[in-house]
Amino acid sequence: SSFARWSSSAASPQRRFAVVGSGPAGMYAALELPRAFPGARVDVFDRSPAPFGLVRYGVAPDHAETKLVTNKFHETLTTRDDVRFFGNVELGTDVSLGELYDSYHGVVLACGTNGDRLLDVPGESENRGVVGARAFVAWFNGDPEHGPSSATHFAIEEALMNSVDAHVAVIGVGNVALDCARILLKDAEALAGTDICEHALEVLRANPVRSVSLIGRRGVAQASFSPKELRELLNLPRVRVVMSDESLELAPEDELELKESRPRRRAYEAFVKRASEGECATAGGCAKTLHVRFRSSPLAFGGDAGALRWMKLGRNEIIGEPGARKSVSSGETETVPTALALRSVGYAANPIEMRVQDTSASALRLPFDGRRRVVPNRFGAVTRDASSDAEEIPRLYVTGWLKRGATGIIGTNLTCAEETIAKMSVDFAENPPSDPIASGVDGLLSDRGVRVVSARDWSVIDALERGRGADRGKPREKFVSIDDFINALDDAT
Amino acid sequence: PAARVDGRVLNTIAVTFIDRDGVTVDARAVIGENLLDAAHARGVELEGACEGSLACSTCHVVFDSEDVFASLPEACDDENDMLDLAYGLTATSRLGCQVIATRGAMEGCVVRVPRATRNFAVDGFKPKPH
Ligand SMILES: Cc1cc2nc3c(=O)[nH]c(=O)nc-3n(C[C@H](O)[C@H](O)[C@H](O)COP(=O)(O)OP(=O)(O)OC[C@H]3O[C@@H](n4cnc5c(N)ncnc54)[C@H](O)[C@@H]3O)c2cc1C
Ligand code: FES
Repeated sequence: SSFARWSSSAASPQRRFAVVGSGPAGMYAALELPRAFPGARVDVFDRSPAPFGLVRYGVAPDHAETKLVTNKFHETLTTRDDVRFFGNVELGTDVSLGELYDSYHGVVLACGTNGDRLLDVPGESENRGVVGARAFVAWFNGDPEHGPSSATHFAIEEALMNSVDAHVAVIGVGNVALDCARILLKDAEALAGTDICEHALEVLRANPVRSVSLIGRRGVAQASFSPKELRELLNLPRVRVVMSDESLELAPEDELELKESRPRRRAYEAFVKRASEGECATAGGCAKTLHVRFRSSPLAFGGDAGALRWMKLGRNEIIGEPGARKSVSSGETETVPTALALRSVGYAANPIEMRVQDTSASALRLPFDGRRRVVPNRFGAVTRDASSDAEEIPRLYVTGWLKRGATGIIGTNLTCAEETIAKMSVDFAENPPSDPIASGVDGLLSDRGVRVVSARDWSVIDALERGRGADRGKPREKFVSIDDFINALDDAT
Repeated sequence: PAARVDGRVLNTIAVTFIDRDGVTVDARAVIGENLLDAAHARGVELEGACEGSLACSTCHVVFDSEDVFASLPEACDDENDMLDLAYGLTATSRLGCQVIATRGAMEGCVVRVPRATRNFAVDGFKPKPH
């Protein structure tokens, strides 16, 4: 009764697969493919020179346990001869979808998200200090997407360095917002032994942020923090937590909502417990302040010559039935001095553009569902459009955040990839594909002068990063730009 | 019952794992060992993304028996919080890395690894076996 096992007859032909993206979804797909298709060979592509997606570039530096999953992923890439890594290869820029489609029996897209959601309020794009949480996370985690020469990197450091008693607004009520707030409020010395990038640590040490606001449009009952991470933030040593009694009041509709969701109820209880302990719960006085501001929306941002100075916050009332509670403006506003505003209202995918000269026979185009901001699919099989009866494109699959949208934890991508690969093995059993017309993209990439980072190269960099970290008492010090990464590699090999 | 591991005699209990493909594996867990380690030691596939540090929920297992489940020491707050994020949560769910094999009610227990392809069946996707 196993979906995976149905296709595993002894005479199974050898299949070659491309997986695009080496985050958890791509890595779990790469692990599952040889299981479902015995003898399969898997090539894993990533536009970043380093593998593992948001486990490396998203998960907070002080959550080392969460990153332990990279032990298994690293072993998969570096010790199996049926799995190869093609780092520093971007779908759309270095290779087209059609070229992959012509070269492999099946293509699995696991590219995650390449953008984030906007607030859509005046001043958001005119003031440098209004930054997406995506860019802020990239700053402390060293994601070359927003490396040291990027405008966002500059804006973050400018905002944090140029103001005395900087106040930072974190807008959003998910776990990414908690991560951002915690990194800012934690004592810099408590981060010094993590793999946080040295440039970020220096700034946080030199000019510590004094206060952070966590801002939620709706009420405490609608916040989607996971309770464990929330307790961690609320119980940081030497951080005063300010929240109004009113913000913890529940309407009968809110109580019904909390009854329906254990995580929300537990998050609510964490707030209530923390409130009962008083503002400054830890001994030794409080050095920093966390303001919890529910039922508040930023209405405008303003500043001097593009540097953010203030944020206008509006008070909201929450109306509507349980499960569909909405915020409406109460008309009341307040202006808060703010040096940096981190927009943390969601990661989201944009279409992957094919900029490269497409040499493929298939000239395959990737459908995109602009409303849900995912690749339309049925159990992971890519469909021609987002309609429910849309035709499936044979041999093309999607998994992870690009399939479901930006929700769920690392483990969610395990079951997500299993579903996609199970669907794939059923499809392949029903309609065995003929052999691809091209044997791979290795030649194409070398003709185009792409510096492919292999698994062996990654092992070299991994060892170098660990060595650089050991010098500073950290588990790792990352290379933060693609040039530094490739130069270090060229020097070492 | 005792098992001999590396020349040492260890006390064990019988644990039956039903893996994610629905295959039954009659195994033994060493007293004091957690069920994630027990599964791995006996070749049962069970993801343990955070290697037992209570930061992932991928080691989610489901006890067949409510009585066995009720006999276990209660989950701590952090385990409950992680469990809430687990795929296919049930009333007898636990995180395998947090459940320690003990004598008594756990002897002979049946533990299932949740099936990721469940969605298929629920939504009426009917693949034909070959
Ligand atoms: C800030 C943050 C913190 C998080 N913290 C936690 C946590 O503590 N615990 C937890 O369980 N979950 C956490 N998550 C959630 C978890 O990271 C996601 O569920 C998971 O990473 C999604 O997996 P994915 O593989 O779909 O996407 P990603 O991890 O984003 O991987 C996508 C990969 O595709 C590559 N790629 C993108 N476009 C292309 C292209 N065109 N060509 C080639 N390659 C491409 C990217 O470089 C990347 O490596 C966090 C998420 C964020 C944003
Ligand atoms: S292995 Fe991560 S919680 Fe058990």
